[in-house]
Amino acid sequence: MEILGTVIGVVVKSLIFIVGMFLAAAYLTLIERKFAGHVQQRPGPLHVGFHGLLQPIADALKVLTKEDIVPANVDRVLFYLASLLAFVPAIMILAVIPFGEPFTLFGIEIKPYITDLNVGLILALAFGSISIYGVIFAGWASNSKYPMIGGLRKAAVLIGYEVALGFAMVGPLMMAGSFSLREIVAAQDGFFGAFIWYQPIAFIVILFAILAETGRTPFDVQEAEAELVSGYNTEYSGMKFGLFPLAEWYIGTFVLSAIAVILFFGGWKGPQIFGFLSPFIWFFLKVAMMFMFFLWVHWTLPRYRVDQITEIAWKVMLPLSLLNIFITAIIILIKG
Amino acid sequence: MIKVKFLERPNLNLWEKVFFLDFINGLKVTFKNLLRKTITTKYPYEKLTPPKRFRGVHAHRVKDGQEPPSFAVLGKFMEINYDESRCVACYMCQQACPMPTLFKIEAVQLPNGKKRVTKFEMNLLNCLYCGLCVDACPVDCLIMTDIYESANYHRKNCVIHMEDMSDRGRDFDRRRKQEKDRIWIDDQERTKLWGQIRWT
Amino acid sequence: MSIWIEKQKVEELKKLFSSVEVYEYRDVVWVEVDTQYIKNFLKFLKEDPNYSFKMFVDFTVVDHPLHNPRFQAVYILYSPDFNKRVIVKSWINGETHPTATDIWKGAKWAEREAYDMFGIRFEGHDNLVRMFLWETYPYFPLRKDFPKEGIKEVYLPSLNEGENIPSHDYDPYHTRVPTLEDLEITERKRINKQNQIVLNWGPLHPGTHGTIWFLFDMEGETIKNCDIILGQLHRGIEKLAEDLTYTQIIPYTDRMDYISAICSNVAYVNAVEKILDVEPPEKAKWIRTMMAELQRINSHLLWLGTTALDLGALTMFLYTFREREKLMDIIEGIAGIRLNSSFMRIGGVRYDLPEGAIEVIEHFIKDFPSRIKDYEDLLTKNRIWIKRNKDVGIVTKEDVYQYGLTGVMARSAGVPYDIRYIQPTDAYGEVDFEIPLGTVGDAYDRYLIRMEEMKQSLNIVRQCVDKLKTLENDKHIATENPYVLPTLQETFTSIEAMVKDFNLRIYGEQAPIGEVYLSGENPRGELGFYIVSKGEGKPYRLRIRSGAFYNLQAFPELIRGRTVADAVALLGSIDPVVGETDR
Repeated sequence: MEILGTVIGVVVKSLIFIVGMFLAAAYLTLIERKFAGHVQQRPGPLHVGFHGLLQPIADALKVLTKEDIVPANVDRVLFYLASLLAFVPAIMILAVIPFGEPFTLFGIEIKPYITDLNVGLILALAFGSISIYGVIFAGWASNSKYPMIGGLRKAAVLIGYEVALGFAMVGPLMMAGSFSLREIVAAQDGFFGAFIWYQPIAFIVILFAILAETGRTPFDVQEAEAELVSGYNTEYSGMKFGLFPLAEWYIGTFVLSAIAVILFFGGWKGPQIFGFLSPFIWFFLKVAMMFMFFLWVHWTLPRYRVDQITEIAWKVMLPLSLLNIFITAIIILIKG
Repeated sequence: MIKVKFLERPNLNLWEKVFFLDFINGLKVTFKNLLRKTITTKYPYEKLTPPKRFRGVHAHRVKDGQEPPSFAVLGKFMEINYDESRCVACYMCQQACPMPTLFKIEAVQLPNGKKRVTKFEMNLLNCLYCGLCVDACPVDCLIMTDIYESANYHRKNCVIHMEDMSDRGRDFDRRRKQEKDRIWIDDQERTKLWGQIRWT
Repeated sequence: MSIWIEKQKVEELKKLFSSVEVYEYRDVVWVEVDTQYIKNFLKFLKEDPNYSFKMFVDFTVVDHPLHNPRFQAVYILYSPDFNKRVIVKSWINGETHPTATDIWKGAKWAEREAYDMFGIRFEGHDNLVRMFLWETYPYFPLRKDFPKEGIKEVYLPSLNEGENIPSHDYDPYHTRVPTLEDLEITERKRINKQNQIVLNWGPLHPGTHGTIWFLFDMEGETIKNCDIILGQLHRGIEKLAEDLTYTQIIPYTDRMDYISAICSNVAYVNAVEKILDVEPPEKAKWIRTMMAELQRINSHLLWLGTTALDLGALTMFLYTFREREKLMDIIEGIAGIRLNSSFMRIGGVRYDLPEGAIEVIEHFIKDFPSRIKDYEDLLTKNRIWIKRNKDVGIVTKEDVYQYGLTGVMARSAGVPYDIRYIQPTDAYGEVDFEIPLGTVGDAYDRYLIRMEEMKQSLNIVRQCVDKLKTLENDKHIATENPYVLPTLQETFTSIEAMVKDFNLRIYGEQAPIGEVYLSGENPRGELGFYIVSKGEGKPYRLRIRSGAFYNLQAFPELIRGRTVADAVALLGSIDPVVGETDR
């Protein structure tokens, strides 16, 4: 009976997470468009709903009802698989992200996470790496030159930054002494207990890595419009196309921001001023700040060349993150 | 004497490099603009009136008693009623046009010896909107108005005729004949884009 | 002091070359040489330290069907050491002529264009293919026996209008259009695939700024070989001009470099004024200079925005367009149309400045420097911007002379070649400004130069505004001159003016027999007009020397061994406008 309860709980929570993530991603597009608009002194979406509030729904309807063209000489299996491979792993990372501590509501204990693995962070990294295949498959299956180049570029970037990202996470992990995201949060106590004060180098490396992983501007070589038209998704259309930016720019950025918040900003911790909701509000506030920061960078900076990006990854970011581990280790040794 | 100036190539110093001061500078600019007011015009809902000199769709001025002196000379041989296009069929607009075939002007000799313009057509699909025809019109008949929405679904609707040109001319004169030759029609419309400017 | 070489100095050449004839019109000097000596003669002019005509400016052909031999080759050269120009001509034996590509690399495309348009074969040219038209096109359109309206041989009926004739000048027959096979043949003639893939970058591609078709032969992402197919926007303005009066050509010059229409207008109008010997009134000169400089800022802003957009700085584009919009408003209020303004007239400008123009421009002058500072904060010191632009497409002084690079391309290599200084027209002789020069010659230098040029242009505009305030009641067009069309007010009130107007409209400005070459400093380089007049109301031949065309010619050489990402940066820094390269 208890097993059944757990199963139902997990299924319901998964559904809530997935549907919630879809909605959140849709409205993240609106946030991005509004932000970009106002940065450029234009209002952004304005006419569908109050100040464009219904725009994401209109867009979703448009993308879903659009004619879905599959070019004649593509590798069909991979072509269909690619957009799923890009999207599903991104959303699966949600399984290990905790949104707060368990709490009791109407006598039921609710755990605001799907599962609390003791290797949660590693699982998240692993899922993140799978989405590389989506991009590479998309580039290869399109059987066209621009997607091919775009896919290979993205693969080069991702491989470089996966490594840096992984090593940079080791610093906070060493301080927390656990891979479980919940325990990492628990290890950060108070305002000055947040790991950002002790791991600034790791934080900068992770910022760069998230920008690269999600293909935001200084690193958006894979779909550099001026060079590659639209990069690896040039031949896609309809919802198959829609899944790529959704997975990369919105869900990817959101999930990675959440991980960064958990690692460096103490997750859902904050003054209890909103009652039982305050962990969620703090968490989403912090994630939203991170997300806005990425948007801000995206709409400000020019983009690197692909060889420069990999150069930075291997020659700057990787040594920096290794140095960070080294320093952290020494300090931990000294402090005992 | 040639005054030359060799440009310095800026270099980032270590301080700027480590603390990303170059990025922060750029981020400051975008943030500053984020707080500014938007400057766009919501086009189909909100339209700007172009200045008086604007060269839009062509029109004919009508005979309304305000003709220039040259009309007395050229219009002598013409049968033109009051409130009709003052075209005298001199074909100067066609002569001046870099693409003369876009005009089709026909005039007939009436029994009383006077001439009457029966057809004045312009195919605006071939028009450069250069205004040379307006400069060539000796009786101040052909003018260009401030109408700029001339897109159409059919090519045959892009040909304009004497009647609708006269209508447009009447309308334009009614709205803007008295206006001064100013760079903008009024201050309010541009305040949005330009901010407050004091006029003399 | 004239920019053209002194006649006596050319006469001395008669001692060395037996068949040299020297002619002069106004101050333009040209030399006619026998065909068999032409190559030695050009080589001598280039290498002799007393002449040192190192820089290639233009090459073209003029068709004289009644003369035997029929075609005449025209070289325009410039000597940077002495700041002198000369035109060298020689008749072409039949339809073959020795190539000049081994003397100047820049002659390559010019000779291809001559082959394309006149069917002249150049012996020794390494890849003599069509320049603008496709390979299987059978005619040579600039020959005088090719009809001006073209040969209408393809039946292209309207698909949805059926039998309803849409307008009085509608014709279902059309001049020849290329088929897909034709384009394939053209492509194969340009480039041989030797490496992994041939990437068709264009003709319709977000990065090419118009319809240029690049062919990249690539190994991975490295471009090993490159060729460019131009002509998607070729409208044959040179041919059209032969059937129009001098005034009627003005709107066509708008449509060449459509981003800086006023600069093209000014360059053309100055050339025509030189052949007609018309002197515009002082006010017109200052208005022209002011408008041209405003247009230069406008054009540089568009360049800045699109280049930044290409390199990923998306927001920059909107920021520059914000300022550009203001300039557009000014131009619209003064000239009537935002883009293709046709504001210049022979002998002056179309209208006087309207009320409020000076105030608005003064406001712009006050406001703009802070905006430039924003742009510089965003880009100049940004490490990504520096990394993307540094060492991309380095041009040397030698390249400048060889290819005839002009404008910012020349100045980035440290060559102070600015037409506004070496051959001042309008009020440029009286205003004070500096020429910014680069030290390395890469894309980053070109960025810095354009930013500095905007400031210098603003400075010129400020001087013009100050001067125009003192000239408020002057005339804006020299209508007393017999070649200048009267203003509308004069036509309305005076019968003489009306008759003069009718005459000039019908017969055109009957220019004296002669020829001139005069250029203006376009934002894209030297825009030159070579006009041959045979005493008719229309030019016998109008050759347009396009700066962007020659600048783009260096592209395949500069991009070799670099990646596609660099191609974007390099193309942005060359800043061609297809309307001008293709004409």
